[in-house]
Amino acid sequence: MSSRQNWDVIVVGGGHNGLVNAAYLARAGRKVLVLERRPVLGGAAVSEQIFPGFTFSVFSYVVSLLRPEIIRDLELPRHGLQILPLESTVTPLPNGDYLGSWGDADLTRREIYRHSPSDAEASVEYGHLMVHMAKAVKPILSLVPPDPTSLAPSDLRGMLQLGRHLRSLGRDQFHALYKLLTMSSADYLDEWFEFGPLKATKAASGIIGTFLGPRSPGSAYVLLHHYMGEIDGAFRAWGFCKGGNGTVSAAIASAARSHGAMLRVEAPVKQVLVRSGRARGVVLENGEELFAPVVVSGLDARRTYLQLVESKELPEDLLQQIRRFRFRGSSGKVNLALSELPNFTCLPGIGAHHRGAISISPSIDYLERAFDDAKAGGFSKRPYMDIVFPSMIDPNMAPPGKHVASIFVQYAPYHIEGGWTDARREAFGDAVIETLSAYAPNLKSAIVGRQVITPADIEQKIGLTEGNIFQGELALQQLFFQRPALRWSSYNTPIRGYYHCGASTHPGGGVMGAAGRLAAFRILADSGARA
Amino acid sequence: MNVARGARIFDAVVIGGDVDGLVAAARLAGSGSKVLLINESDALGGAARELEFAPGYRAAPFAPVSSATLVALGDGEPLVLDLAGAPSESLARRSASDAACWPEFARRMQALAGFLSELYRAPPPRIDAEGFGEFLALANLGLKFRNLGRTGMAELLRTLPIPIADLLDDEFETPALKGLLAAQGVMDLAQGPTAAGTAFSFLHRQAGRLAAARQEVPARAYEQRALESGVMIERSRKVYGIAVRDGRATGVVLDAGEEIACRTVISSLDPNRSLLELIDPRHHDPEFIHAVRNIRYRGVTTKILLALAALPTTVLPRAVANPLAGGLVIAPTIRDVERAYEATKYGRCSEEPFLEIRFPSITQPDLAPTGRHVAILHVQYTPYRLREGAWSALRDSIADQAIARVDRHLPGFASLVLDQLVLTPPDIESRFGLREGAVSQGEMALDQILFMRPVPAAARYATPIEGLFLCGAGTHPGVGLHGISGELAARAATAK
Repeated sequence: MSSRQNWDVIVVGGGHNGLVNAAYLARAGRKVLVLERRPVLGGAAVSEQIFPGFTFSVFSYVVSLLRPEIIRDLELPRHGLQILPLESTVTPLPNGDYLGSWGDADLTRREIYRHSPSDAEASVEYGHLMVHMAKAVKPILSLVPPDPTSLAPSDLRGMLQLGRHLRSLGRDQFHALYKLLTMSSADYLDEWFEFGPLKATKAASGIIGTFLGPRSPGSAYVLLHHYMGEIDGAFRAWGFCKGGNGTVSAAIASAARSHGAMLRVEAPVKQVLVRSGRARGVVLENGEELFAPVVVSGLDARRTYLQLVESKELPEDLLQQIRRFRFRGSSGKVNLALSELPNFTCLPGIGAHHRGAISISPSIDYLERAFDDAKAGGFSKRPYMDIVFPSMIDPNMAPPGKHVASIFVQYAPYHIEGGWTDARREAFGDAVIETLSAYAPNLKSAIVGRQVITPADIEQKIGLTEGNIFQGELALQQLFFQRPALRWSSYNTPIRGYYHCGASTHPGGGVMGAAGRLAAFRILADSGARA
Repeated sequence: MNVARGARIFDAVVIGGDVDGLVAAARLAGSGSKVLLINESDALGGAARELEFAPGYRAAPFAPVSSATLVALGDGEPLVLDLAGAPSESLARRSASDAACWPEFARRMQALAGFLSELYRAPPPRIDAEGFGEFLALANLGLKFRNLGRTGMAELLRTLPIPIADLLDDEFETPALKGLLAAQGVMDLAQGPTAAGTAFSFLHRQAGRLAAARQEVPARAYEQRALESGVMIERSRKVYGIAVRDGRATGVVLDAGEEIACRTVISSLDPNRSLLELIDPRHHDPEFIHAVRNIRYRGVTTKILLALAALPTTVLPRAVANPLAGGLVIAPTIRDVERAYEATKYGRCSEEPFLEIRFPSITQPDLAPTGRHVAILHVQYTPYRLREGAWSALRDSIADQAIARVDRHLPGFASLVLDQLVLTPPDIESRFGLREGAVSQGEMALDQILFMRPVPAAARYATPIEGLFLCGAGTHPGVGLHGISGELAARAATAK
């Protein structure tokens, strides 16, 4: 046991935000140690070989929100990051037809025209508005949230900056943004479109990871996320990471190492050491003590405030806010090893659609019914699914001729009646396969391996409370200056030297890395001020 | 439409004789204008007016409610709650911790509702405030916000967007309490208690209750005041259109082809009617038309007016003086209210709607013959647009089921019913002129309040048509705050 002050900064949790944070701090010359509980780095962004020869992005599965400035600052392509475009989305329909959205805008317009001429026209204008909106939101994503109840100069300055930004949008754009923040995605899309499957497929992107249905107010905001994907500067393209999402983490880790950060796996942190209101370091599960004047938690808010430190170190109003911070994981994942690709009745054979996403979202009602099941305490009998075949883009992920399918499934509520058991997990997996087989009859016979992940599994395996993939719901009262708690939304905590950089902080989850970066800036600013 | 020669000439015409229309007309007349008020039906008062629904029995199903007492009926002892925060013994018998939290929670909600009331006294704030006056108003609002104190500010920021279900789950454990309050948060909304913005809706209702408690004036008093100010009132007359020339309102066209010239028109009808039906769309920008068409109304409420032989006094909870003077609510749990809502999404009526019963004749005995009583039964959810079937076929069964359900909680209730009138959303639309049967004239959802109400381009009562102003529930501050928008619209009209 060493009592020497070895490190400037200890980062608890080697998820992508923790790694981004470490990389930025190391780049600024700090001696950084990252401690990860699992044997692999990356948190939810990991690639693992679940069945021999088959590699999966086990949890998160697409890339789009990773901030371009992070890719640039950390030179991630040099560290192995290669994003391959995921261009199309195909929604098979119960009547044997389909709705496609392709990489080629003109092709997409013609496809929509086939279903609804007016929607084809509306989609162009809608796309323009959403890009404008995404541009309006972008600066807010890289803003440290000010506390609107404070009169401190930095908070007033922040509020002024925010106010100025909102005013600069102009009246129309401000109102459009306000609508996106407060409306349900179904209502919002109703203002534009008439074709049910089109509305449902768009609305589906507004419910991912939330305990909301498409008719729930607040779901429209997440629609924007779809337009914020920026790969190589191109707005609204989503992509796979070559080698799976673990490669994202590996690239960030490699960048951190190149700047001198030390990354330790299988080093579970038991507690943060606090003395006289100051963080002193951490103690590991095995009793080993490590010291640093700055400790950063990349874990979610509940773990950061209620588990890693003792409650007596924190003010009651913060504790209450954290206890009330809602997680309610709502999604699961099914990873399949396949002997052949599913053959979709609506588009027979192997085609371009296998290189994009397949969305099981035939109507708004379908999604709402899936949500009703979850509210009643069960998993959706007919769930929403977002399916990709990473092996079609990166053949190394499966043995030659074989494939992997990554199926994001909603809703699978964490708080399921009777709790998640092995039997219930398999029943959930069966519902997924059953639903999908209706569109691709050869699916069942093609499955050579099946991994079903419930929110309980996500919590247990990667430590995300209640299996929430965003480290806390992206609900209005949990965003911006209230994420994770009012007065404590700018990455510092009441314990001096103890910081928070996970997706529980602004701007939230989705393999963005923004929280890790902003927290690093905060830490550097604070230490600069002290120096 | 142009106004013909020889037409009657007024300074201002007010369309719609509801409380807001009457207030607007009285104010304009009071400042020296020659004002004509046109009312479509014979009775003034708009949604707040009384209906004689059976010989000798009257009720105003949408009149503001000032009573703070609510009683949850369910299994076991009724739960009596005072929204003003008085301790509740029936709650204490269910949960000591809830009983301990209740007074403080109720006071906190009242304080936040008080902030809304302040917000509602002026036109909605604008992000792009222009001119000294508006900046002053914004600064004043900021000051009011700060006056809530740090805890109050935090509470407000958290409460406005949160689902009422979450708000209640954070504070309480008693299902009956949570069901009761959840129902208050979704009154007349096509949303369930797990929807964002329902805690706001709860606060808005409290603000309306506080306003009603401050000035309990019957609709007739507003009529009197308008007449005294010199307003000319014409009843049972229909407005066919608003004449517009060069982007300016020049008059109105009435039934029988009569045209009236005026420089100012104030309409308290719903925004769609005022802006799209009474005005030729060619006078509007396409974007404006699009915005108005997208206003959501979505009435979900059925009101049943009942003539009663007597009050169902046998089951009165003894703990309070007169709990029937408040509302009796049948909404056992949050989940029950949410499940009732779920049917709406698919265009069906709830199999088990939540119910609220009020007995207005307790405080206003003249509503019924001596010794007799009147009850108003609120039934939700019953969507205006049914996907299958017709309202004419459903009307009676909804009423029968609702009365039978009340009878289960108040034994003998059904046998007291002498007569009834069922007002489904289409009935409310045709009888009260409330579009889609929505008393809100535009759902009170987060995206349809403040500077978004009814649409951003008409949020401060003036519309893109010069000389045309809106007031009524469809404008800020919205439903349940009678008279405020009329006052503010008249102020906007005279500011020019």
